[in-house]
Amino acid sequence: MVAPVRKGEQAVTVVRRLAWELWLPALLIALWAIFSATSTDPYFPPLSEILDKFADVWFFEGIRTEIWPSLQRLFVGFALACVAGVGLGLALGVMTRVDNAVRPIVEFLRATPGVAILPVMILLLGLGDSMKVAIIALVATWPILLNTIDGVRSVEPVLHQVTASYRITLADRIRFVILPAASPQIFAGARTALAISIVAMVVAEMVGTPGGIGYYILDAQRGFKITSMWAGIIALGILGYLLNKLFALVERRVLAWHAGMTAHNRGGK
Amino acid sequence: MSPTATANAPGAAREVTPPRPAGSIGRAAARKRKTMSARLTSAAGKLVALAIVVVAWHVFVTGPGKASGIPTPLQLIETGADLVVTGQYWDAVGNTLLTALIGFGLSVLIGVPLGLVNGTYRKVEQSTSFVVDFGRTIPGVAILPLVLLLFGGTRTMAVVLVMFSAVWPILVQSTYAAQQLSLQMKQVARAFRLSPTSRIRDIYLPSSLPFLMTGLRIAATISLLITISAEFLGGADGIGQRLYQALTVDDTQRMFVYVFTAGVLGICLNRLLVLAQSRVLWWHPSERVNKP
Repeated sequence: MVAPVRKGEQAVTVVRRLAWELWLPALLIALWAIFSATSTDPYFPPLSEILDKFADVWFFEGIRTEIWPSLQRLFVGFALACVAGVGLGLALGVMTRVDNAVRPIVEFLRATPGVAILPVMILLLGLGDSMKVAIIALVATWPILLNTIDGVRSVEPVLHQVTASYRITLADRIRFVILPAASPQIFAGARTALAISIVAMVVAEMVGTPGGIGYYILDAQRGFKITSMWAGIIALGILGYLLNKLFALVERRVLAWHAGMTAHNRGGK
Repeated sequence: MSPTATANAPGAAREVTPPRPAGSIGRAAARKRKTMSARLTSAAGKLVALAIVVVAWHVFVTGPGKASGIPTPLQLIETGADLVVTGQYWDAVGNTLLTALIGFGLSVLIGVPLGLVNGTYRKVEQSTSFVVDFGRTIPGVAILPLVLLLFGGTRTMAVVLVMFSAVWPILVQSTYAAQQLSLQMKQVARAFRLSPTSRIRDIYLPSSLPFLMTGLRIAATISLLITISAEFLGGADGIGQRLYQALTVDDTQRMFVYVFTAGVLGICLNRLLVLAQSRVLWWHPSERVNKP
């Protein structure tokens, strides 16, 4: 039972923690505002001007015309990568021989920096949306694929023996044994994949046809619309941050059982 | 320890080979023969897979993908052979490597000390947590237009961009590294009155190195990726810029050679890092688990 006094104490600790976490960002932003207020440097306009521009550009027209299309590409590409990565990863994880045979090719493709594949994609698919989605999906597939294979391999051998002796079908084995056991690893791969697919999205938009936040920033720079460029950079930063938080939220939900198990194994509750 | 740290801990994402079946010493010779033939089968499988890919590529390029102008594997090798004897090819490779290396080195110089301080003092970590969290999730290429304005299409531009992206994983992993030191170990060190050198060598380094190495590995991969991105988009000399040139003049043969060069660089970097890790962390469980 939690006494009301304890509750009050908890609230105080939360506030104190927030204060500790927020003073530095607040200070940095204040310093930025103060030092840029009288700035005449064309590349570093006053923060107040940037924020005016930010509100002007993004609320709410820009969100619909620039950010939303970017997000759509990102989600489609990332979803494709998840399906391909987990699907292929499961197959290769179960078929050891095939995995062993294609491993050098997979390693090579994984090690190739995503941007280097971009010209090939442009060659095959042009500068439009299909190229952008394809490059996002391609670079995001490898971390998910390799982590899925590792995850499948890390299933306890005893569990395999148990499922074999109960003659559990492959589909059920994947659904109830392999996937749950591999999911922490899969999520770790997906987290890496998300970060690089955001980079791929921005780069693809910068070279591709107009539209999207990456294009917006580079276009603003080329047109010497410096406040617009800053507004775009800030929006992209916030976008990256929020997407990561969203992913962490999903991960915590899906892997709640795993966190509980780890805590239990460590001797916690 | 956060879930990211677990996932990135050494060995977590490395290939796991099943342990070899234990046999008695008398069967050692038979086992050796068996591993020999197993190795041959495995190599044969790899060759077959490679052959299938090459043939499929050839068929695609000469058939449905003819319009794209992608070179056949043979043409690629021919163009590659012509190109690797030229100085300008090695200029591009050298420039890319140098840029990535400078950016990586500076990131280490900045990230490791900051991260260690960050991990040692709880209040410092709390204060910086939001800034670090925000910084590491910003896609590094976001500031590309800004650094382009400030530095133009130069190496400085690329290096700054690399630093902006690579410093975060190093900082974060160094923070974990500093937090790994358990209180008991500190007490043991004090009880035994270990000298500062011994403390660093026997207590601090072993507990923090695995995390530092993970940070370095992530950062090195990012450095190469961002270097090529900066060259591709910003025009600093290097592989990325050659790729862009080849793309604009539609020289697909040359383009593919540079794509493969980037891949080879990537895989060399990977091997090098794995090797370095097994050298430095040979005693760590993650390195010993699959070794005979």
